[in-house]
Amino acid sequence: MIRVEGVTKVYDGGAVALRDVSLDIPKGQFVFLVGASGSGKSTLIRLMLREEEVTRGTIWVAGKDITKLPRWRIPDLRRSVGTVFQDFKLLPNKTVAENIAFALEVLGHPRAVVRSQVAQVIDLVGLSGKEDRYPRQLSGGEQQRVSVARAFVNRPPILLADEPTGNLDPKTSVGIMKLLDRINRTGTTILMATHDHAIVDAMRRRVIALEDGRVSQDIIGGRYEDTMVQPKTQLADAPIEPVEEGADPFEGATEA
Amino acid sequence: MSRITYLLRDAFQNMRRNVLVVAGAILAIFISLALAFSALMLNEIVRVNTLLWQEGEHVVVFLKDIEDGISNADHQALQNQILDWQEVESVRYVDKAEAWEEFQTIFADSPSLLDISDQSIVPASLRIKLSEIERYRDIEFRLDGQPAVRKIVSPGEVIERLSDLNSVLNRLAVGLAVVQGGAAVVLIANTIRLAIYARREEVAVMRLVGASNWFIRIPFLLEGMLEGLVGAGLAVLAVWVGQQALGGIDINIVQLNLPEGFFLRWAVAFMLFGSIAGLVGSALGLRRYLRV
Repeated sequence: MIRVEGVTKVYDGGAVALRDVSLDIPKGQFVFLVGASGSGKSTLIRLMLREEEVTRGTIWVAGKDITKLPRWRIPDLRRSVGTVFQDFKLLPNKTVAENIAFALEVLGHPRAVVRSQVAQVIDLVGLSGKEDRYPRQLSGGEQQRVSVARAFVNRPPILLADEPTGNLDPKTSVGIMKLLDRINRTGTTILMATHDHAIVDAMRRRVIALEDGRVSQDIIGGRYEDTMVQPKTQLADAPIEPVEEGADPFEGATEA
Repeated sequence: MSRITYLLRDAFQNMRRNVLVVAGAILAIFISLALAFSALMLNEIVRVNTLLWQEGEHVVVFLKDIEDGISNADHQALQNQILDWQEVESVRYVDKAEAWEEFQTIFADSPSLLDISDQSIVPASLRIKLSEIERYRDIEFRLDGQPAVRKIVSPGEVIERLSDLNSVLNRLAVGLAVVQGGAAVVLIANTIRLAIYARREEVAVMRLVGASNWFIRIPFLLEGMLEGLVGAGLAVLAVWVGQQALGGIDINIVQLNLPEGFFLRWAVAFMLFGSIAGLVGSALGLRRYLRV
């Protein structure tokens, strides 16, 4: 479903975000993308959405080489990939239902179709009865559910999530993960970038670790700690990071 | 269909959000087009009047008569002489009897004047129609000093002064309109930029969910076009009101009413022009700011 081949990304300023990254995610898989801040997780996701262009290499999404996609076809790519972000990206002046409907209206779906699809997906994410609330009247977890609903409302084959639980407490995070798991069971391929050890450990799915722009680990049914083996040895060279990273295993369960 | 209403609704929402800036842009378009349109109307009024004058007789030569030692034969000779000139189209001889009739019609409501006058006070005249009206000065010059000529009168002078004034005013108005029009386009480009800025979150989400570029752009283009159209509409309205006011003034010698068709034709053209200016402005504002 997603295939990355020898991708290197160098930003304009010369910062190297990804170095010769290759990975293959088959249809229906649930994959965690882990790694320290600045390891290249977000860059990889942005490349898959063509928000950035690769410096070298090729990325196939849903069977298409998206690095060669002409500009005007990019919207098509984004329709086949749902996205969820840490900061929800909801429109504050629209209600729950309107926020979700927006994704379909923008694609030009007829009103009746929009209404029934939105009702369905609101039910799926467990927000029935809150259709007419505004984002500010919802908790963080509920807002993220709206965002997931919006990403999934047109049933894309792929869902990309960039730290979707980053702003949520552990209990709420579990709720979101259950939701993503349910969506994954419908056959949707999910790639989720995260720092959340507890979640990675609990789910026991494939874990791909990025380290300084390279794939350092790729473990099926892995745990977050498994990916830490190599990083720990290298942390000696990086004096700023250890405090944060070293403390993580103990705080993983309560990460805010 | 739902798509079109959606896009329109979007454009209107945009305009509501920045009322002041939108009003500024509309005003700029309005001033520019009102100036250009009224210059055009004024120009047409002058042209119509020039034509009216031109269809009349361009040079009138009042002639001396028997009492001054000039005979009808002399009148005849002068007429033939004038007819030979190439810039002259026709010459009509109005003798004393005919002139007296004319006099009586003109002063029909002043019987006291007619009572004390008779045929002897009105001179015979030659009414000259020119094929090239701008040569009237030459004609005047050639006639001046001829023994039979008493006095030369030509409305050509008035026309000339009117056209001069008109062309100066026209150039001024058109110049102002062009500058103002440029300012209007830039102002619209700015309102569109502000609108994009105000809606950057929404635009980001639209892109995220895969809205096509045109779907994102069209509301902004519509907004600019609407601003241009409203400005042009106001300009047309202002010129129409001005024209109604002018038409109400009764000046015998100048025709201030223009045929309805002329106004309508140009009103439509100006509305179209306003919308296009708005479209260009918003396209300018969109440039670079709305790429995928």
